[in-house]
Amino acid sequence: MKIAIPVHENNVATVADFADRLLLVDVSPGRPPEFRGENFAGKLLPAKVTSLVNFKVDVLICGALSRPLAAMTVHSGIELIPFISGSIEDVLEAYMSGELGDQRFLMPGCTRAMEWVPRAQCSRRRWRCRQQDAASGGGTKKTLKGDEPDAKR
Amino acid sequence: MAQNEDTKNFTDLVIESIADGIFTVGLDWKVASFNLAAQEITGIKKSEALGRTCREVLRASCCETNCPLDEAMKTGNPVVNRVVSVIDAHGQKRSISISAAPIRDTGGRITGGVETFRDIGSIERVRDEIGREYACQDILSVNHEMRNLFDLLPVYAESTSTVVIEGETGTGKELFARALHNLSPRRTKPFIAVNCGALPDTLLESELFGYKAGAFTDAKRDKPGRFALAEGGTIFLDEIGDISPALQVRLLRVLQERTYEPLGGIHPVKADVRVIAATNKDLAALVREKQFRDDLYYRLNVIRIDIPPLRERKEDIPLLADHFIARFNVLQKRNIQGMSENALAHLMRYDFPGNVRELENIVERAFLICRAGQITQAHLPRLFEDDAGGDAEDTEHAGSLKKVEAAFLMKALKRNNWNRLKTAQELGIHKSTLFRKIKSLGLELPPSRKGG
Repeated sequence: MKIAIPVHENNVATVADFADRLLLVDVSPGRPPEFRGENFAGKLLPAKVTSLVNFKVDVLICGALSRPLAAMTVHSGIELIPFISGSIEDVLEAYMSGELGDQRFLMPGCTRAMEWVPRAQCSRRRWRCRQQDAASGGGTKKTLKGDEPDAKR
Repeated sequence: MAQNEDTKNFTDLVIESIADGIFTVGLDWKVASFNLAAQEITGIKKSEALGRTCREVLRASCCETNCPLDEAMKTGNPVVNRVVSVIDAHGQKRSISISAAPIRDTGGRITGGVETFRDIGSIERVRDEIGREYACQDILSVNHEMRNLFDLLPVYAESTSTVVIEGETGTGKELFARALHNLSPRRTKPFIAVNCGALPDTLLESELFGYKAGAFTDAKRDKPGRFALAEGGTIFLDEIGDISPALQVRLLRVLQERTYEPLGGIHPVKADVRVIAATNKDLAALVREKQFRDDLYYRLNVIRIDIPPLRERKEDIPLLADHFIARFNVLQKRNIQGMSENALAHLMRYDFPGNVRELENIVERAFLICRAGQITQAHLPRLFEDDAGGDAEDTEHAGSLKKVEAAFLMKALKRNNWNRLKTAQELGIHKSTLFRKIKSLGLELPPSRKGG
């Protein structure tokens, strides 16, 4: 499985649309993950999505992004996990352990933003954005497979 | 203590009521305050923004590469009106203008920063709306006469009749021709523009109608002409008033019979092409002077569009200036805020012999000189000032001075019986200086008495 993360230095880039670098992580069972950096700068949005498709990306983990980029990504068959914030290391670790839905990785405004992100292939929708829940008493730890019983689909 | 509390409440009230988005951060980049306008622009609630890093909240294109707040806090100097893009919580890309300044404690130490930002996307939307209302294809105008033309263009476009567009140079004749084509059922077919004045007559003929192999030396292969290239579409013949009588005849045949013969060809070729001709000359006057065939004129003049010069629609100058500024801002990645009222008033006094093209050039030139803020009168060209009358008085004054000098010299020469040596001695100047003066002033001396 190939994961792509638009990055800035050691963090997930705040906005995928404006990111200059793309980190590609190839995760295969029984093998250590392989990391590769790609240029993501100066491209128009369709070209960015075409790059993702050409790199055979399965999952895009990113910070904020525009509607057109979200729509093009999802409709290209790429699983989208948007509005993630944090260091690359922490985010990848949380993704592998199914804890990326934790409050500490969520960007502010996530609840409202999830209303417009296309439903298909968007993992975050399956996890739901639990900022309010988290604010009222602890974060959520959901699995990547989206198998929580009350998940909204 | 109570007074401090009151002051704080008052400050909070003021900050909340300001239309610009405002937030403050500490040295840890965490948002410490976030006003109502900031919530509206970013789409993020104050409760969600407080305590988060400002980049997560603002989500601007400059956050990670060229942060104005970082610059202001590092240098201690404010950053003013930097235009950047942000992605709001609704996933919409917006243009905002950011200003940033450091916050200092009583000892002058920087303890954080304040960023104010304004949504200029809404200004751009208004501009777009204005543009839509006062635009037809790529032509902008608020002028009544032009608006009438905009209303008629779709009607003209539906027809296949030939069109003559008359207008001074730089009024946008080709824009009108393109608009007619783009609004017509032929829009999916080619639009071919030919400047008839730019080519010699023989070349223009082969350019328009093409040639067959062997038609002349070096014609080794068939070459399709512009009429063939425009098949099914529109051909725009600019500067039609400049074509020769011989070519006028050939063009008349195309319009009458809808056929033409390529050079060296023996069979006529059918032409399904709409002809739009344009000229900056008065075609009717050329007909009267027998320089343009009357039969061709009447064939062409089925639909006639007269584009008024810019001096007759000066109300368009602010709209056009604004349009060019917006365009050059995008093309040159600049952030010129517009044109000052004085500069605009100055432009309004000018007659623009070069019409819209000249205005565009003036704005482009002003962009070279004006690095930021507004285009002022100082950024407008000197030539313009001359034409606008700024230095006209000086020129007139200089002219009258020369007249006085010429009259003075003529009197002195006459007094000395046209003897230039004596005249020079009387005036206390060298004779060669006098000769130079006589030459430069163009003084005519009596031929018989030039010696001396």
